[in-house]
Amino acid sequence: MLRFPSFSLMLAAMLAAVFLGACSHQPAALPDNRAADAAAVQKADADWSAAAQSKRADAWVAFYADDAVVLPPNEAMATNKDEILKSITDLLAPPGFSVSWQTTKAEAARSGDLAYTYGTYELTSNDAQGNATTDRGKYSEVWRKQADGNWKCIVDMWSSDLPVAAAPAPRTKHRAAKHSRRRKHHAN
Amino acid sequence: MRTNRYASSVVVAILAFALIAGCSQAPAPPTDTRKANEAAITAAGVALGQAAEAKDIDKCMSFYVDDPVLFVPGAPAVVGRGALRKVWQQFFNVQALKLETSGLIIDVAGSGDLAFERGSYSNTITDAKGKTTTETGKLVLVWKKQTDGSWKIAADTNASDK
Repeated sequence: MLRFPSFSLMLAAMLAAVFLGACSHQPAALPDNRAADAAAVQKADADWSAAAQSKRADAWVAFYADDAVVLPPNEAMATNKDEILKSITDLLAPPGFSVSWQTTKAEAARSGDLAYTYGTYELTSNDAQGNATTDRGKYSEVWRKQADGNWKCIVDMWSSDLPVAAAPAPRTKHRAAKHSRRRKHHAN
Repeated sequence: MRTNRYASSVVVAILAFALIAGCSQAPAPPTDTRKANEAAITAAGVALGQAAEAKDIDKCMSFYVDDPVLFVPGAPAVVGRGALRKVWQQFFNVQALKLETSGLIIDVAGSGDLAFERGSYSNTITDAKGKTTTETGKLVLVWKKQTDGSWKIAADTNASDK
C-alpha cells in the first residue's frame, strides 16, 4: 500500500522536472540583432537612392510601407498612397531633375521592428532659364520591418539647407522655407 | 490498493495540471508598456514646449540625448548639444513664443527602447516690435529611452508647410 503513493510521487517529480525544464526555456533572451537590422535599413536606403535614378515614381514609392506618410517641405503631409504617389510624381517632374542621398546614421530598436535613418541629399534641376541648379538638404526616415522581413519606410521627411533667397526653381525639394531658420517646437 | 492507485493517479494528474498551468503562465506576455511609454513621451514633449515658451535653455536641453541632431528648414543639419543649444538660444531672441502641436502620433518599438513621434506644429512668434507671425509645419522626432528610464530626443526634425 505504501509503494503506490511513493511511485506516484516519483512520477509527479519526474513530470515536474520535465515541465519545469520546458518552462525554463520559454523566456529565452531576445537575440541582439541591432547591428544587422541597422545595416539592413542602411542598405535599403542606399537601394532606394539608386532606384531614384530611374526617376520613376513607382520605383520610388515601392520603398514605402502601406501605412507610410510623407512630409515634404512646403506642402501638406501626404497620408495615403494616392497623395504620396502624386507628391513624388510632382517631385520628379521638373526638367533636368536628379536626386541622390546618403545615410549619415541608421539605428534599430532592440526588438527589430522599428528603425530610423537620417542623412543628406543633393538634388539638381533646371531653373527657368534651363540652367542646372543644385539644392542640398537633410532627411529623416522611420522604417518598420514588414511581415516578410523586409524594411519599409513609414515616415519620410526632408528639408533644404539653403536659405529661401538662394533656393532655385520651384516644385522641388528645396522650395524650402520662406520662414527659413524659424523653427518649431512641439508642446501642449 | 485500488483506491490508493486511484488516489495516486489523481495526485499525479493534479500535479501535472498545476505544472502545465503554471508553465503556460511562465512566458506571460510582457506587460504592455507601450501605453506607459507613449504617455511618458507625450509628457516629455509637453514639458519641452513649456520650457521653450519659458525660454529655459537648460531645461530644453535636458530633453535631448548626448549626441542629438536638429533639422530645421533653410539651414544645414545641427549636430551635437553645443550647436543645438545655440540654435535654441537664437530662437529665444524674440519677445514671446507660443508653440503648439496637433495630430501627434507616437510609435514605440516592441522593446521599448526606441520610439518616434510625428505630427504638425504651429509656432506663433511675437518679435521685439510686437509683431506676431505664425509658422506651421511638420515634425518627426526620434526618442530614445535612457538608462534612468526617461525618454530623450535623438533627432528633432522639422519641415515648414510654406
